[in-house]
Amino acid sequence: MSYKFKQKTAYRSLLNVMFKGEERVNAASASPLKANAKNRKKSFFSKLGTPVRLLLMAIPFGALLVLLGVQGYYMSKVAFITAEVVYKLAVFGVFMLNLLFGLFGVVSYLYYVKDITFYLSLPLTADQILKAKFLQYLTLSSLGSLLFVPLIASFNYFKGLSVLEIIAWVVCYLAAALCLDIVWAIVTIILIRFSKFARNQDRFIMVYSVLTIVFSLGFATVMQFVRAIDIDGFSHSVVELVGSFVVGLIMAILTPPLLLSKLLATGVVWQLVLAMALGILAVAAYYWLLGEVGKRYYFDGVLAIQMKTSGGGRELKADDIRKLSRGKSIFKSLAKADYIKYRRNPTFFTQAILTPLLMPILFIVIFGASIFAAASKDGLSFAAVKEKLMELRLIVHEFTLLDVIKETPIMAIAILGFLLTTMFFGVGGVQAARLAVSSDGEDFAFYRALPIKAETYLLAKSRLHILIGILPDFLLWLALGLVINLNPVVLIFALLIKLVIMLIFMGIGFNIGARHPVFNWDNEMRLYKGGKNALWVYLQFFIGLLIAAPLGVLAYFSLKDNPAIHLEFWQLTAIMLAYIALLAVICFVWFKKSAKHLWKRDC
Amino acid sequence: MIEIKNCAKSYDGKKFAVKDLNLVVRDGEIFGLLGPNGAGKSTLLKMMVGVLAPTKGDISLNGHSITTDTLEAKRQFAYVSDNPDHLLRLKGIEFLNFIADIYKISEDKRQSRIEQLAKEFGMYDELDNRIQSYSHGMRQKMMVIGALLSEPDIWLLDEPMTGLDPRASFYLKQKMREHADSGKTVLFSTHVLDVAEKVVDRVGIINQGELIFVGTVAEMQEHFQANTSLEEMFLELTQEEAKFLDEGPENTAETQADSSSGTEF
Repeated sequence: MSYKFKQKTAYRSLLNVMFKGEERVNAASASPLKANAKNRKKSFFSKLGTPVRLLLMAIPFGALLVLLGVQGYYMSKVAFITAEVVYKLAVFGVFMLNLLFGLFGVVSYLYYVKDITFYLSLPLTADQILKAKFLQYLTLSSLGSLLFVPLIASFNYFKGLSVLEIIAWVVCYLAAALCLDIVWAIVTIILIRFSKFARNQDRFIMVYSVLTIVFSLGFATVMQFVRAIDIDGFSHSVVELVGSFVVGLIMAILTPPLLLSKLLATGVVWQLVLAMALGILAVAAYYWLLGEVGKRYYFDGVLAIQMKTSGGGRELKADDIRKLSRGKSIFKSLAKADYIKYRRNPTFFTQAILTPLLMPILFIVIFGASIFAAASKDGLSFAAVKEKLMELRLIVHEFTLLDVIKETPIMAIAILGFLLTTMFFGVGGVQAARLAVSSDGEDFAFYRALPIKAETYLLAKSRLHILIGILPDFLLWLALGLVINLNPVVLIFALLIKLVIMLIFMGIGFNIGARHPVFNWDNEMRLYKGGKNALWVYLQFFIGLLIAAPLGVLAYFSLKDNPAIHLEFWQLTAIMLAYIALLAVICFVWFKKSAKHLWKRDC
Repeated sequence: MIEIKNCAKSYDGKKFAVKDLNLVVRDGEIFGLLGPNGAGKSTLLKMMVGVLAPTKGDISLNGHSITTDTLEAKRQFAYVSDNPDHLLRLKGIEFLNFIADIYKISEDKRQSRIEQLAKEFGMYDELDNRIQSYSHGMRQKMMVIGALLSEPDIWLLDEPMTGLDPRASFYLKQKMREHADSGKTVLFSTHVLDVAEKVVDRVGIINQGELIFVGTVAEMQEHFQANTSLEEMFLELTQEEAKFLDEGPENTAETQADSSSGTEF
C-alpha cells in the first residue's frame, strides 16, 4: 500500500478532513474545477492534479486582482478621492458582497454539511468541532476579501505613501473584512437557531436566491441608466453616502476597524502600529464573541436542520385523494413531474425558471437606456424623445422596412435588438434544453425502467422550457410591437420568425442534451457550473452564430446598395423561410435519432 | 415468465459483470437471487428492466424481448431498485399518481389501490409530504407501493426488504406469496438469507457474474447431503467458487456447477 500514514492531533486531523473531504448538501458555490466524485472516469480537469487545477482557478481571480489594481491607479488621479475614502469604499464593498453572497456562504459552510452529525459521534469535544468549523469558514470566506487589497495597495502606492502606511491600510482593511465575516456568522447562527423559516433549507435557498437575483438585476439596471446619464455625479454621491454619519455608525458597529481610518490617515509610525494592533484586537474580540454564541446556539441549529422532521403535510381524506389522483396522459404526467422538480428545487428554480423569466426585462431596460443615452447625447430632452417615439409609431406602420432602416437609426437599433434577443435567448434556450435531460440525474434510470417512449420523455421536458424560455421574450416583443403600433402583418411575421428560430435553438439543445447527458453530478449547481459546462457555453454561442450567420449575410447584402446582389423584400423573405424550414426538418429528424440513442445508453 | 438466454454484460469489453447467463423463472413462483456484493445481481436486474443493455444475449418477459420490444416488455413488470431515492421533490400522492398515469390505471382503481396500499404499508398519513422528508425506510415503502400499484404480472425487486419495518416486511412477503400463487412471477434479490429461505420457491446463487446454483432449498440440501441452513450452504458454495477462481479447478474438493447452463439440481 503506497499511502503514507502520518499521525496528527485530533484537531488537526479534523481540520484536514473539513477542508478536503466535506460534501455540502447543496453546494451552490461548488467549484467548477473540482473532480466529480461520482464519475468513475477521470475528467480532463481531475487528471490535471490539484496544483494545476488551483492555478487554473487562480487565473481569472488573478486577472480580477490586476484589474482592481489598475482601478486603484486611476482613482489615485482623482483629487477628491483620499486613502480614507478608498478604505471606506473597500469595506463598504465587502459589506455589499456579504449582503449578496455572504449569508448563503455562512449557511453553506456551517450548516449544509452532512458530516457534522458524524463528527458529533466521534470522541471530539464540541469546542474542537466548533473551532475547526469557524476556522474553515473564516479562511474560505476571507479569500473573497482579498479582492480589494490590490485596489487599496495600488491607490496608496501611486499616492506616494510609504510601505508601512500601505501595509497598515491593508492590514486594517483585512481586519475590517474579517470582522464583517464574523458578524455574518453570528447573525446566521442566531437566525438558524430561532427561525423556523431559516431552518427550511429549500425555502431559505429559494428566497435568498430570488432576492439576490432581483437585487443584482436591479443594480445592473440602475447602472445602465447611471452610465448613460452622469457617472461622475453618481461617483460623488456614492462617496458622500459612504462617508455619511448614519452609514458610518452602522458600519462601525458591524466592523470597528472602520473607525481606524483617522489613525491611519495621520501617517505617524506609532499611530500606524497602534491602528494595526487595534484592528487585530477587534478581530480577536469578535472571534471570542463568535465562540460564545456558537457554544450556545450552533449545534442546536445544526441538529434542527439535519434531523428529518415531519414534512408538514396535511392528513389526506378519501376526497382529497380523489382530487389529487386525476388521470392524465403519460406526456402530461411526465411534464408535471418535471415542472414540480424545477419549481421545488431551489437551484433549478433560480437557474431554469427565475433567471430566464427576468432576463427579457433586463434586455428591454438595457436597450431603453441605450436609446435614451443616444438621444440625450444629441441634446434631446425626455419630452423630445417621447415625441420622436410618437413619430416612430407613424413611420413603423409603413410596410417598407428597408427604407425606414436607412432613414431612422433608432429603428435599426430596435431591429438589432430584436435579432440579438432572439439570438441571446435562443442560445440561452440551447443551454436550458441541453441540461433538461441531465437535470434528472439518477432519476433517469428510474424513468428508463418505466413503460415510456423516449420521444414522449423528451417532448415532455420541452414543455416547461418552451414556456419559460420562449414565451416571456415572445410576449414582451408582442407588447412592444403593439405599443409602437407596428404594422400587424410585419409584427406577426417577425414574431413567427422569432418563435421558429427559438424552437430550432431549443431543439438543438435537446438533441445535444440527449446525445451527451450527464447523470452523475454530485449536486445541482455542479450540473450548471461544473465539468465541461464552460466549454459547452462557448460551443452554444458558436452554434448560435453559425445558425444566424446566413441570415445576417442575407440581411447585409439586402441592405447594401449593390445592384448585383440586391434582393427584393419578398425574395429575402422566401430564402429566409426556406432556410428556417430546412433547419426545422433537420432538427426533427435528428430529434428522433437522439431520443433512440438516449434510450439505448447504459445508466 | 422470465427467460434469460446467453445473457452477458461487459462495461469495458474485457471484464464481464455477467457471464453467459441462462435462466428461466416460471409463472407462479417466487425466485430468490442471492449472491455476495458485486456478484452481478443488480446488473442482471438492470438488464431485465432495460436500464442496461446486454452485451450479448437477450431477456424476454412474458414473451416480449427487452431489447427489441422494449415498451411492451416494460408493461409486463414493476421494478423496485436498490436505491429508493427517486423523484424526491414529489409528494407521496404525486408520485403514486404519476406511476398510475404511466401504467394507465383508471382513476377509480388507482384511488382505491392508493388508499389500500398506503394504509397497509403505514404511509397514509405521509402522502401529502415530499419524499425528500421521508426516512430511508419510508422511501423504500413508497417505491414498493408504486410497484404494487399497477398489479403487473412480474415483480422485479432489488433488495426490497432493506429499511422496511417488520410489519411492512411481513406484508410485502405476504403480497409476494399471493402474487405467485395467482400464477404470476416474482424475482427478488436479497442478502437476508433467512427471509429468502422462508419465502422462495427456488433460489439462484450468482457469484462473479455466473449462476453457480439454481434449484429449491431442498435440492441444495440434497446436494450438500446435509440438513443445514441456506445461509451455511450459500457461504460454502461461494467460498468454493472463490477458491476455484483463485486456485484453479484442480484444487477444489466439490464438483463445480456448469455456470453456462446454471445447472439445476
